[in-house]
Amino acid sequence: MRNNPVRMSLLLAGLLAAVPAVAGPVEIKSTVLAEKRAAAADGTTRVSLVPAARVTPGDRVVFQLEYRNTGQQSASGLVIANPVPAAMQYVSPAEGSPAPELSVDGTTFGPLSSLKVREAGAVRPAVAADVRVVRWRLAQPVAPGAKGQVAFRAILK
Amino acid sequence: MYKPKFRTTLLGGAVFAASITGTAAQAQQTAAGTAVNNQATVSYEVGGAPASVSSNVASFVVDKKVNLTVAEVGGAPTQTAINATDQVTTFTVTNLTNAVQDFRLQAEQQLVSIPLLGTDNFNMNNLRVFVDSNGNGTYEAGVDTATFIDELLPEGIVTVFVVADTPNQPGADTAIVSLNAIVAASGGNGSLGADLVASSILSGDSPTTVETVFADADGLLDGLRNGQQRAYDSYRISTAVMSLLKSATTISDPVNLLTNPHPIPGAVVEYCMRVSNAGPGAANNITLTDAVPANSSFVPGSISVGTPGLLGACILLGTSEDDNNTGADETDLYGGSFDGTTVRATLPVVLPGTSMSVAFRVSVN
Repeated sequence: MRNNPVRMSLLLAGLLAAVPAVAGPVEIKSTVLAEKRAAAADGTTRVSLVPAARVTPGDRVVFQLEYRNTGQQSASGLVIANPVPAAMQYVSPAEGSPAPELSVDGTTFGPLSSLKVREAGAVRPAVAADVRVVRWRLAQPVAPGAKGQVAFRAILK
Repeated sequence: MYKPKFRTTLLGGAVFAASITGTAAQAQQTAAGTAVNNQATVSYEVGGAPASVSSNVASFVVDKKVNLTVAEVGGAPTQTAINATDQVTTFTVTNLTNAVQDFRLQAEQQLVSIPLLGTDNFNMNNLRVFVDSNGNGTYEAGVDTATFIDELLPEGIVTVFVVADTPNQPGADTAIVSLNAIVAASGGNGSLGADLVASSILSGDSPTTVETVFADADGLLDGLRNGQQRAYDSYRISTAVMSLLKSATTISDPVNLLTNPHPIPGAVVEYCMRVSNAGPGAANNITLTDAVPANSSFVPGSISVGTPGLLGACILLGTSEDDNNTGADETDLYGGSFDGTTVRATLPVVLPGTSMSVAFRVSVN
């Protein structure tokens, strides 16, 4: 699958149509990681995130987004939107991350069970492979100097 | 504004239909070398003023996942005959790698035993391998001349022929051969690239270069994840080598009767024809004919057919035949008839390693 930058930039622009693209005190950083499972001393399995290596079709990665408020004032109403790259298929939120709202068309967001897809003239329930955008809306404002992260798992097609 | 554009752009493409039903293994895999970029945006409000910012682009390059299958076509041995040339066993090679690859091909003799194909007990001569150039599934000498697979697309399938000559060797009956396909670099049109080597797991992954990961299965005489795959087929010699031995014995003469008879006019001579099958196949529907020699007359009712006798007797256990070619005596195991000039015997089967005899008598004119 080719990553289509034209589609993605149209999508991003559309999501922000009502908001001027002005950089501010909030920063957001995107990284791609792999999950590594190791047995911990207490017998449980600990999952750690390591840089993704040797990613081939069928492998799973974690896209992690870290946000930070570097300004003096509290930032509220954060909405983090991440279009799922064309070559990836959404799986689930990563371990420890809040669950995002999902969308198959970039405009309607909700849990997967509420989404529908139009295909070959018929409407059917959406599956994880249909998800094109994931979005987190933070209920709490982010205080000056505070940071957080969200992450989701995806499989390389 | 942008809304209608999104719907048609995002839902109209075939790419979404493909990703819905298949797993990554069934649908087309992402090509090696593809850059996968992820970028998020965050919109928020500070002091009542809206703002937004985009993240960096987090990127990785899809690495090469090497996989292939080699399969035998037909599910049964190729039937052949001794001294036959250019005998063909057929295979397919499928490229399951997420990139275009060449495949180096090796045809080898194998001393193994495989259900459905048999137990190997001889080697074919002049073993060669050719790629089907026109996709018709039939080996055409002079047309199918390539000895390696060139530039096979992901999910592409190609037919390959192993071609050999059958020797003339006593006891030979089954020859098992294998086709080994080794994944090679795509090396440009018309030339075979070098065998692929898996990237060392000791060196770290580079986010910008395409590394090579072997993901192929193992099999009989093939290791796991070695960038190769092997399949087997066999040649079965089904022909029978027949020989015929004819002898004549004087049974009696008018003077000496049965004691040391001589072939003088009036003597009865028995002709014995022994058919032997050296194998390896069974011989079916044998018809033996022998013209009654000049200067002799057929003795009516003297035809008999059966297993060879001992100590000079032509037949041990046989059936007597009347002289016509009709009646129950024609199918009571064997048949025999005389049409006025020629004796004819029919044998439904002569098994490998066995012999059958036909006898008839004439009197010397």
